[in-house]
Amino acid sequence: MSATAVTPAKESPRPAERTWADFRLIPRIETFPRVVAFAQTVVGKLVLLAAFGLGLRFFYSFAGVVQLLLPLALITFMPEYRRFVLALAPLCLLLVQPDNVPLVVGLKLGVVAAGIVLFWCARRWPQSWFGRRPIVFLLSGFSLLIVLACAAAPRTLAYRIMWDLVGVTATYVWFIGYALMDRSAKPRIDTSLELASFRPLWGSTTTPFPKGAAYLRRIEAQDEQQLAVVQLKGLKLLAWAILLGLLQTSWTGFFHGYLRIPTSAEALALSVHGTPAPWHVRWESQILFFFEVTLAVAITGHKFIACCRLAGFNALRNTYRPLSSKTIAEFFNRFYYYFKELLVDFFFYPTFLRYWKGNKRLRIVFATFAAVVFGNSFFHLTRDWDFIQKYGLWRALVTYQVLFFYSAVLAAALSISQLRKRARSNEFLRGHVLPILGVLSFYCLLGIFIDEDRLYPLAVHLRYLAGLFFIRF
Amino acid sequence: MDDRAQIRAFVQALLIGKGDDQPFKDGESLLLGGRLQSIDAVEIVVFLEDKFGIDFAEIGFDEEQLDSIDAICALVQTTASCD
Repeated sequence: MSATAVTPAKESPRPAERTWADFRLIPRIETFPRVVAFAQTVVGKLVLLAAFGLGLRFFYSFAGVVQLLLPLALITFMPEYRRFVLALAPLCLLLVQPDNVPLVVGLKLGVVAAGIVLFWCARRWPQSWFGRRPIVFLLSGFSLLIVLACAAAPRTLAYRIMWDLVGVTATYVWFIGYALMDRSAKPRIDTSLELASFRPLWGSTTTPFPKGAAYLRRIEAQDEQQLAVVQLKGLKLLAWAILLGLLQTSWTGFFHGYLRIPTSAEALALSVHGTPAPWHVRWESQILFFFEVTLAVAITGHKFIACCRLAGFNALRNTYRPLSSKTIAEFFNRFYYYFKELLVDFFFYPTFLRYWKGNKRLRIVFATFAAVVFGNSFFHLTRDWDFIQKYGLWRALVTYQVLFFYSAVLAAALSISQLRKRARSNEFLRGHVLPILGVLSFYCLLGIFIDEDRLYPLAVHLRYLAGLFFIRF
Repeated sequence: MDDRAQIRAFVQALLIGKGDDQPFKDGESLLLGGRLQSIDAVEIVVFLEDKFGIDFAEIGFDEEQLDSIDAICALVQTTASCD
């Protein structure tokens, strides 16, 4: 069979007709040959950059837009210097921030330098103890740093330096982790993208968007036409982010302002203080919260990925039609793709490939729990290092009981979802509506255990959940 | 059935199981392109372990090795023949 073999396409008795499923709120401009050709001209590039800059203004200050747009303009007109610009721009931006604290800037540069050294060592000595398990070394080292910071005497210089170092490392650790994971990826000469991906120009949360340098190499535009297509997709995604942003503003104003429905945190607080909102209002709060979280995650991800695409990388969206998911695993994949990828890359695969090889089901369950319970908890515990600084390690761990419970329930549900082989049905109700409603209901109720402020113990959240079903304890 | 055909049939069955009956080329990116997910990569790993005796814990794992039919065949070729 040849390398270009294609499975036979279904024969179509008549030309494809346009249906409602083909309708796009934002047209697929990257598929219009004239638009793609125009985007490759000097004027076209200027128009594209101007439109993108205007769009960015919806989210960022004028200075913020300029800081982003200048390097993106350089990349657009001189794509051959893309990697150089991407490696240098974040470092330049780091140095020119007006609110810079010299100690923190020094620590940031130090952590970046340490990341480069670790990456170099892992490549130089691949068979060494470190070279074979660099991620274990990195995450253990970071954990040890937190323990040492906890041991430092408060209000001393050492205490301040240690906790600042923990804070800076927390923002870089997963980026360095991806670089270490990509240590054997090709090519082995040009490593500028590793540096660029330590803190990407287009912005990121603690979760690397979109993964590491090896991934960026695979999705990088290779010629002018590809660049134009990717940039048009970026512009389109930014337009999506703006539309969702407008929806978010109207949503908040209408439901929480005009209708005065409390947020889920407010509804929970009312219950804790003995003045619970009416039953139907608590349900409304919970349902609204689910959609609000989904909207917020989608907007943030779209913003970053849109800029990443404008830089010439055809990255997948972070959030892609999560409300159409028919299984719990599918929603998890569609909701926050790059966080899911982080859990999979750092925790799921390493566990899956090493343990319980004789039993496929047990392998999947064990690896899922390793990723979702251990990985998810470790990620959030280290991301919110200030809780540890404030309460101490043990008390901080106690405040995470709600997260541990959330992770355990999610892991169990994901395991079942992955192992369950359900017959596909094309029936509208049983094949589409009911599975989707089931998935959304599960995540909506699980949202009760999302508690970023960690104000209440697990029992309070469980009581609140039970109250939604008229159960009191 | 040769190795490539077996691999292709397996991947095609995975796609069809997800409701994706669109054609795909041997060089097409399936994981990075978003048509297959991590859980599908797990299925491919188990298939390659069972069928070709590949031990990923030993050789190291990279999703790019499973990204397309060509990539999987190249991986299999290092341990067995892939026509």
